[in-house]
Amino acid sequence: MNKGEAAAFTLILALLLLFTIGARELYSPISINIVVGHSMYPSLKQGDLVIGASTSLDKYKTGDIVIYCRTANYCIIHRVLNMSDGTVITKGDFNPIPDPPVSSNDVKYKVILSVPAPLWITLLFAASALSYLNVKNLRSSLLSPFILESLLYIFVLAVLVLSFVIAIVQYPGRADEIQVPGATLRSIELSPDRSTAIIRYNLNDLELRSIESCNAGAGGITYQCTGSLYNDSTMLISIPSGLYQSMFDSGETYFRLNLTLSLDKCTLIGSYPLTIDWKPPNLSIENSTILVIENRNPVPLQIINSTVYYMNATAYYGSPLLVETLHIINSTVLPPMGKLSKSIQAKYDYAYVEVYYEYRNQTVRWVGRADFTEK
Amino acid sequence: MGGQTSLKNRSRKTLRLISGLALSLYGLLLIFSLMLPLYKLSGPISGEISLLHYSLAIFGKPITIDALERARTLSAPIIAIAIASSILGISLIASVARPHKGIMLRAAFSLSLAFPSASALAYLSRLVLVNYALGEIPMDLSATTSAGALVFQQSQLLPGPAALLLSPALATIPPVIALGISAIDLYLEIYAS
Repeated sequence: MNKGEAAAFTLILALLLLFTIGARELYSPISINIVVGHSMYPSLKQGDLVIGASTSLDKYKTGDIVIYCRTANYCIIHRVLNMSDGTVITKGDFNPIPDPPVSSNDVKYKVILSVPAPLWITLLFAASALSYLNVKNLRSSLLSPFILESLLYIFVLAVLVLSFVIAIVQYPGRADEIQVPGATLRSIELSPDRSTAIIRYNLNDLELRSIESCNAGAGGITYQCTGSLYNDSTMLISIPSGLYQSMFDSGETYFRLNLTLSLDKCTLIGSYPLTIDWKPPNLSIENSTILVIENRNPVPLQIINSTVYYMNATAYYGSPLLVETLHIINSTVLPPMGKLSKSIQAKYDYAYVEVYYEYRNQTVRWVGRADFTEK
Repeated sequence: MGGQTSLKNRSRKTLRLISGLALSLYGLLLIFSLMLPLYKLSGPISGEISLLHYSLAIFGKPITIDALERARTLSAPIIAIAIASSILGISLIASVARPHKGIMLRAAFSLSLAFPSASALAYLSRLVLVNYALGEIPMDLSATTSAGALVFQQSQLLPGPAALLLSPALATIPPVIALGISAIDLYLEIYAS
């Protein structure tokens, strides 16, 4: 190596030191960095050569990739997410969350060029190989026996090894996230009149189309049911009244709804448990003049009869006396969840209202009192 | 003497022709191995997988598989070798009819030295990366959730033509044959003349 070559070599080495290590602490118009890690994947891959220009020469804005150093040997190359009040928030493209805020004065370089690792390593390798040869007689050096064969073979082999290393190093090795269409149950409930089951789904990339089959069963007895699509993710299923009647008769409180639904991309087979509380009817006398019978179950209620016994408070030597009897209801059926109101004629002092009804294969008697005199 | 030289020339030309054919055929074999589909998928997950390229979609939405991306990176230099081999092979065949320079034979020989490595790398890519990728691809999307059992049609995986080409035998014998022929050709042409 002559003096000129030594000076050129020293200058290149000094500039390289300034642009790489020196640029982190001292002022330098450009900075040369090599990416380590996968935080900027796929914009920047591990091993890529990144060249930054000083922010005093080239201003940066939101969306630019910038370089700032936490310590002399730990610099960050991330994208600007937000800038306000002298602070900058950055985030790696591959990172799930942004970085802690950094002072805008600390952001020293804006990335102006990135050279993929395969390219710069190949170029560096080729330059090193050529520098090994006698440059003045390059052609004859290359063509001399064994040199051409060796160089060519080493070059091809090096490229193969390099691609192997890149294939290992440059990908973050994350688990493949394949978004598979899916469905979960959001809610299932019975409508207030218990006649319909409302089933809501959370659908991911799926659409409800139709019902292929539907049945509801309890205690070994199964009934066919029907349903309809309410919206993209909600089904309405009509519960067969026969099912409720058999459940009521046997005292069952639990049934299962079995559905086969046709979706745009798949079939959904669901089996959903539902419960029902059997409640005795609610009987009351409102304003002393109206008998109200409320059937709180989704099965018909058999009213056997109802009689009003009018009483006179002091008619018989100061004791109450039955004055008149009046049948106000003969055998009638109150529909599921139905309500019956019957007026009671206000006569005499007060009246007892007697109602007989069938509940769970038993005859139940209810008595209420209606006062007609003002207290 | 003149008859002997003519016979020697004809033998060398024949050998160069065989060498050119071997290089071209090996190059083509490698190109087909990398470009033709290794596997074809149909059903909910559909598409094709070759070492150099893959296109997979789940219900029409494209998906990326990390292992197949790596296989693609690995295949880039191999396809370059394959193309160079084919070009060199065709040039050697063309040079049979006219005077040629020994540099082509030397380049062919040094390139052929890398054939076993290239073929091995291609075969290993299939063995390791593609097989790993196949394990990552859910062939049956059926699942049980709180909504019930989601029953999807099963995806079908069928081997493509490259599955045959990237077999152990085809990954070892052709590169060794091509290397051997080009080595003999070079030896006779340059060092034994």
